Amino acid sequence: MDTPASLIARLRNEHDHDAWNVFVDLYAPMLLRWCRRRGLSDQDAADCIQDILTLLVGRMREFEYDPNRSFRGWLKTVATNRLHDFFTRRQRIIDAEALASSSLETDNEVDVFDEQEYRDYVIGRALQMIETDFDDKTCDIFRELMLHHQSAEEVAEQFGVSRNAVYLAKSRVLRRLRERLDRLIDWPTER
Amino acid sequence: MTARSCPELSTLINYVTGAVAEPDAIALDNHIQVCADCVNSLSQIDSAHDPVVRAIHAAVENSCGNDPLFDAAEIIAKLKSASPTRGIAGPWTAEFGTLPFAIGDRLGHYLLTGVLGRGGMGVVYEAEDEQLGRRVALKVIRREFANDLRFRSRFLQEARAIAGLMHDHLVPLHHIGEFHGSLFLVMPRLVGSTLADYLVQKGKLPEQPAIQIGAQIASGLAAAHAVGLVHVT
Ligand SMILES: [Zn+2]
Repeated sequence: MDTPASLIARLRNEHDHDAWNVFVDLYAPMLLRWCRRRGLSDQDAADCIQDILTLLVGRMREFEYDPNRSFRGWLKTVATNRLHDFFTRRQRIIDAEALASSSLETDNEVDVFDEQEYRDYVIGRALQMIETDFDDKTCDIFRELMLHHQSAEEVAEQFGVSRNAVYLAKSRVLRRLRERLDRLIDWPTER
Repeated sequence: MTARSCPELSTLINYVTGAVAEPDAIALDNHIQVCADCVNSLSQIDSAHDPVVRAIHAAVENSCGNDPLFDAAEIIAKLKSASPTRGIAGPWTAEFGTLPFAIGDRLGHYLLTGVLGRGGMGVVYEAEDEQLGRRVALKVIRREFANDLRFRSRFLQEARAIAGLMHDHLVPLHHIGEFHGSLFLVMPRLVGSTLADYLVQKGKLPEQPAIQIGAQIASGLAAAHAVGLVHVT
């Protein structure tokens, strides 16, 4: 159950099919939302998302060894290009006029690639995914600590466990989250 | 590590922010589980000083009540069943043997990112033009043809003529190049299997293309006819 390496590192290995599944799990919901907002059917969105994620995986090694690159920026570029291709193709086939006025750029809803939006989504989804690796109590303790900024003492009392157990839960979940999110997020700088 | 040998404060800070490496972490877990002194030290550390912990706090608060998965389960299942290498190296290498270039190779400033198809005379790759930042289709002509001087000169001549044409429906040709003896053509990504197929499969433009390629490309070829291109031999 323990993942030995970060997701990025595992995605370089083409035989690690589990890594692909994790990658899909992590990013597909966000990209689906983004594609739908731009008017794609779920079928088209699925094709787009597959192309996007496949291309990223294909170039993961290059990304991994370039510490200055932001995954969020890269994802946004790849996704935007792919969607542009999609509309260009459709435009050739159907009607240039109708598509010229389509909502590719003019979208005033939440931008999933905005730094804060992206970070909140990816962390939230990753947490949701790794929770299956821990027992319910560990997960509840962790969420309680994160959500309400409570002290270990308060949380320990609330759950009827020792403070030791609270710190243990916190460290274990944080470790797993960090590992999973390694290089996928640009963390904010020190306060 | 026993309860008697407590870790240093810096290690405890890493522990409570989840920043310890996994091999060390297990020993630390075992220690923290039973050590009252360490728990007292841990309670003095404000983990929210750590940017990662702070971001996680914010994410949990901001997304409280939202389901990050929302209704994507169906699409996730579909994508999981697809191999990440589908459309890249997988079926092509299995079916046709070795590719002339591997995915990830660069031909000048073109980075090969996938395989789009394979014709009688070569392989069409998906590529990224790193200079202009656009996706293109790149067709590599098989060596035996590329090495045939007559084929080569006719091919280049026709390609040059096409590049000089402007027509709504004619596939634009971005670039013709040579890399370590391999001849390649660069076209827009989405039309990589139309005109390029003609050049690759036939070695020249067809005389009567309409039936084979449909009205759009055909009218482009009519433009080619109009300038006498098709009769270049
Ligand atoms: Zn201790």
